[in-house]
Amino acid sequence: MSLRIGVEPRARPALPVRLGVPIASLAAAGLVGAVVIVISGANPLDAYQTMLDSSLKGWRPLTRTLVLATPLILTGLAAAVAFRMKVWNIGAEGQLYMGAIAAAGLAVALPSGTPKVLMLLVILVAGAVAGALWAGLAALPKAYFNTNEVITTLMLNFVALYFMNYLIFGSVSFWRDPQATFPQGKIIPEAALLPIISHRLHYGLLIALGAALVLWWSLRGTTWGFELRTIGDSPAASRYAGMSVRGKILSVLALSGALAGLAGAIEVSGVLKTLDPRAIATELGFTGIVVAAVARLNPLGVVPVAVLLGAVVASGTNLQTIGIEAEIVFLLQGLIFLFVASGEFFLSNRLVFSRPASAVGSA
Amino acid sequence: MRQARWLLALLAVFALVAAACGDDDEAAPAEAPAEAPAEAPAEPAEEPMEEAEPAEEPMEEAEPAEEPMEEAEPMEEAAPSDGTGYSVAFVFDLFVNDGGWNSTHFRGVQQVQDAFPGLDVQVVEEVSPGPGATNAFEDLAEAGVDMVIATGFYQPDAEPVAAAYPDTIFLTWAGWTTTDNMGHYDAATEDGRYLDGLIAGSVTESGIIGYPAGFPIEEVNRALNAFTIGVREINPDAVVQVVYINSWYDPPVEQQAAEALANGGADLLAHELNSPAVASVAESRGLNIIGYSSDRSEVAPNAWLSSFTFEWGPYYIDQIQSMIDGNWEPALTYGGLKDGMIGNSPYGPDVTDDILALVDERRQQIIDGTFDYFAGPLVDNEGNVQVPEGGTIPFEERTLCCLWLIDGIEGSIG
Repeated sequence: MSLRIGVEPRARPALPVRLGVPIASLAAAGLVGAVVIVISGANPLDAYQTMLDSSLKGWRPLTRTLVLATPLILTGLAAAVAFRMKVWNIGAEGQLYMGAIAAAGLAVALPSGTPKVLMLLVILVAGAVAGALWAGLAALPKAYFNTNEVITTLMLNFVALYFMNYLIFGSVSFWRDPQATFPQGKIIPEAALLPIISHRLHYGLLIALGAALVLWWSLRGTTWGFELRTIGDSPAASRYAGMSVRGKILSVLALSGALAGLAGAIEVSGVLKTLDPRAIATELGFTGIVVAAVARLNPLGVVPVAVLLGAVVASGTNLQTIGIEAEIVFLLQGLIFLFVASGEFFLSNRLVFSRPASAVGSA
Repeated sequence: MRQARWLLALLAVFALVAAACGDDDEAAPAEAPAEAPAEAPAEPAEEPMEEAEPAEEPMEEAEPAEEPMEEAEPMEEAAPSDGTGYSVAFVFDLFVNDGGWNSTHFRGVQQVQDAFPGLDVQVVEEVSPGPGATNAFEDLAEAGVDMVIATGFYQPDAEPVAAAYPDTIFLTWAGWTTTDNMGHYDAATEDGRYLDGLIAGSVTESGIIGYPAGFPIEEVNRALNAFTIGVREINPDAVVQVVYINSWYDPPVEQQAAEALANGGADLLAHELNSPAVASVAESRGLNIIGYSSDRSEVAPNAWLSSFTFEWGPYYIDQIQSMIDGNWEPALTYGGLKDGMIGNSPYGPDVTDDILALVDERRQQIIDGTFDYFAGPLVDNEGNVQVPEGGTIPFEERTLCCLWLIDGIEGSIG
């Protein structure tokens, strides 16, 4: 006669509640974080003031936050679109690397006199295509032999990582700058750099926001989106209804990979100006999964979550210089995410307590 | 951090999978999404500190300096300045107590604090290369720090900030493009590695030395080549087996590589990796160990032979002093034994007096410029002559070497 605890979805709460819960979650994270900061010997008010000042207050901190958020928006979308159909693409990380490799390679290979618009179009599309193809390596066996894409996409991350490291650290490849005393990619030409909006913020942000809007609309308002969600809920029923499940698996994984690949290309073109494996391999793809999960797979929700994460990361240095150790900074960042994520969870689900006996009776 | 985020991502996925599969039964996922983010960032706090070193106080402001600059550095006349009114920030890519690379730089930071008790010294850890590093440099320059010293390869990330903040001096490790307010530095590992090689050659009995290393890049190969030259000077038939693990810091893989080399007959391990894993394998299997830039005699008291050490402190002190004196000039500094930037750890019990005498002699000759271990002919392990008879690898050009492995090394750079 033990009590069983279950979870069931909640009806969609009113807008004020949906906005209020994340704010309350942040406040709760702040309170718990304050205890940690006090224990570590610093002043919580100073710490939070510094966090805000370094990430959101003023134009320059804000642009820096948005630079960090841009790739997370795209990898968050990559995860969200696949997960909506319950196709678990864990490979955004590797797809992002492949996008970065393709973009950097083409940027160096094309004549440097290529018009900027053409150059940017080519390298960004190439990044997306490379990501899509890399995802395709997992999508084909999934579609035709029903292999487990969690395993294949995850493993392909390693292949991509070692391939990228090989290009720069393990060989004198076309990508590598032979003049550099520490292994480094060739610097891409001016024409391949995304234009800057302000400070270091580049137009990649608008591409990411555009992708979020298009994806949001596609999922809601198109047959494609309807089928995608239906297949996610019931592949068998969808098949009986005449939908091409196989085609959808291929197209959704390719789209997911393309978004991740685009993120890699934008990092190269907008931020890094070269293929730098150490700066590319910073878990942008994996973090995208977390972003998508916290955003409840809503493409529009991905944007604020990615910005929040960017803001949290942007303040790391200044927190350390006011005397909070790096370990505590990470702990604070984790707390914020923990609380926001669980706030979101309990917003859309509720715990139900039931007794097994009654469950048996009703069945 | 790395593993932690993988774990987090996987947990998030499993949570979603579980939520997707088990909509209406009692579903475990209730806790999963909440648990996942908690674990990830909290973990780094405990993970990288097997060294249990001065973790507690990665330095507050100017510490009262218990040892009031007894070895008051090269510049006696400037002694009145204890650094008061100046600020310097050190940027690390991991934690200062990683027991390897970062610990060697942190030792330099402590020497700086001793030399300039009034100096405002800041330390920023866990700065990943890329946009995060650029932000870090900008934050420091914006805060008015006079000199930013980046202890890893950060040149591309520092460049735009150095250009925008001409009043802040930037020093980055292993960069190569100086500007008015940016200089770079590196140390000639190979000087110390050659001496380590002499010791290794005198100790190995099986004639097989295992050498797990990070990436097959120039500086790693250069040090490995110098090491092998030292080994073969004493023991011409010995071979050095290299295994690249494609990471600078990955204790489980370092351990596996060391075990595999030991299984292959190596009775002595040397390495260019940062964790104590290789040293503990050597100790537990009764082999000998040559360390990488850190004294590992605590981990491996019986196995311990020697290691070169990085001596960043004197360089840092010199740079800070010239900033204070107002005569700082951007430079590409590449320093070896003769510059005091390469030193050596205490020697272990298996190092004989005979070989020590030779090591001391060679060290002095290198300092005096009367001995060149890179003197040709140097032939690589594929039979190509890389440096002809009478030639050498000039000190100033060494950083461009080597994308080849010298004869006597078993392994390839792929």
